[in-house]
Amino acid sequence: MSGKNQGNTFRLEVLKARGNGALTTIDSISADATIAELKKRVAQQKPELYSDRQSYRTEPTGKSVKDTQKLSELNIDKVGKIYFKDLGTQIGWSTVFFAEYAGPLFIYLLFYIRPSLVYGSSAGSKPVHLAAHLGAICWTVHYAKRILETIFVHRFSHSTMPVFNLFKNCSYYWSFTALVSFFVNHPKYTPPSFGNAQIYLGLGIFILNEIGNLSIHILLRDLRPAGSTERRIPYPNKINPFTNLFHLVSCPNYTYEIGSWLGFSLMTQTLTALLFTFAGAVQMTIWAKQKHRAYKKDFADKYPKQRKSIIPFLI
Amino acid sequence: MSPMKAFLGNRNGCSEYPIFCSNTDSQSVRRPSTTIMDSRKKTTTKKEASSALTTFYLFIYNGILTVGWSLILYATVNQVKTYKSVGDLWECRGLWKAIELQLKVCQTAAFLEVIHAMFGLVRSNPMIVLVQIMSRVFLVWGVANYIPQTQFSVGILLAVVAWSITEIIRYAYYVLNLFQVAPQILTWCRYTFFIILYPMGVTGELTTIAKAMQTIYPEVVRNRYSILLPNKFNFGLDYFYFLAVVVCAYAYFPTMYKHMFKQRAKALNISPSKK
Repeated sequence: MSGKNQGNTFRLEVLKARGNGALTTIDSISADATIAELKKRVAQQKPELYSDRQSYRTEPTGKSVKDTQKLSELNIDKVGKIYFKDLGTQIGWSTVFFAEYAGPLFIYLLFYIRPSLVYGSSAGSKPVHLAAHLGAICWTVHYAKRILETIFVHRFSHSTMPVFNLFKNCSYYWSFTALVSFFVNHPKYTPPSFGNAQIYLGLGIFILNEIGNLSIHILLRDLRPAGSTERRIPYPNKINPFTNLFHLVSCPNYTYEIGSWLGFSLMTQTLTALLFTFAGAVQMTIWAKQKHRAYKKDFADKYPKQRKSIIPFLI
Repeated sequence: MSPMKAFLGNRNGCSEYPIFCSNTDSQSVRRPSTTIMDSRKKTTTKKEASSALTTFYLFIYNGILTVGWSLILYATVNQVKTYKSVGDLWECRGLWKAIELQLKVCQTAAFLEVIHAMFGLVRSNPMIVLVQIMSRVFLVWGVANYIPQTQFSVGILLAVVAWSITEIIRYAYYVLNLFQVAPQILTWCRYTFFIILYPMGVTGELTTIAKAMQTIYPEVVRNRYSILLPNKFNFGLDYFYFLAVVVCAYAYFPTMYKHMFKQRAKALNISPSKK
């Protein structure tokens, strides 16, 4: 269905980037067609290779080309060949996020609501400490918030990711959930050393950081026009003071996330919660540094110099 | 290109320090006879002085470890010579005492290799190096040292023999490679001995862990080695189940083993063997 301007069509061999031989041949495609259109054509001929799974390069090894580029821009019409890579089974980002967040919700609450299932029948009748109640509430709020954000707030720049990521991410979230929940909801739970003062301080820190994190997500959503993948520099807005953290870091959403979990750990005084906080902080620092580097590269001198990636003044 | 400069393969896939055997020298991919081991991320703009210092340091480090592991192997062999029956061998009396100090020093010193990787003295992925050292260090400190009954297990013998032969070859290779004089035969050993040594070592490790689990299974003993609730960190660790989880991690063995065969094929320039 690439009805073309006649003089402009050519025969394209789609070769496999790794390994030998051709994947398929497209008898007639327009030089003005984009990679996105090529993907559609290939998917027609090879239905199991839906567009999101296809990746193209001009050389067997090298960077993949963007969907928006035309075949003529890449000289493909002269060469008559292009190299294909199968990205493997893809899964939508939304699917991944739901699976990743529904698990923690379910698992944490399992320990909380039905302790006898995990700790034995006598656990059901033991009194539950305030910190454990608040822990369950905070955990639920956090993941419910994430699910809602996935539905209503986030805009994703890729529509899919490899299915292996689902397995990897779920293992991480679900395992840590079990590790945290097991100890916070344990019949032998020991309340925080500084009593209610510590509990409420932790709770307060948690709440403020959750609001902060949400504020940043909303700001980022508004930054990116609907349906586009355009990138702009985020700045604090005048309305929400939580966005002021953008003065100091490139990824304040991650900063707030670490803050939330520190609050949670303080509130529950549970080692595994702190380990979870630390693991998350390490991963988010890696991501923040990547993003920070990308910002500086894309925007060069226009990008605010005093910003660090995730921890103000430090990293 | 300075001869001291490495051209090791990408960081992600390959490591030169597999869980327990000498191998995965992805740099040997293309030119087995002139493999260069010492490498730095830094380019040839680095001053000659530091590169000489680095070489000297690595020479000392790898040299000491070659000697250290040789001593361990020597002490082990001597100890085994005193055994008179299969029963003796099964129990390995006196083995741990004979090698304990050297083993602790050599195995723990290997953490320095993570630092080397982090600072680019050698081109390996520090994370991979760390994971691989951890498994050995865990066996030394977290099993044998922690639960003394496991010191009297043939598992220790198998593991230590496998480790020491592997490490002697590996460190000797590194030393000689610093000066480009690693003989081809050494490379061959490095990429061939693992075929026996890797499974042997894993068997030894698992046997030792099994002995540990058997020892601490009864509740009375278990509690002595575990972290009990309640406590103010709200953290508990049942060491028996912890060891069970560690055993599960060995499920990686077949994958690693196959990976080593692939590395071997590349290093020795042969078509991949089956197995």
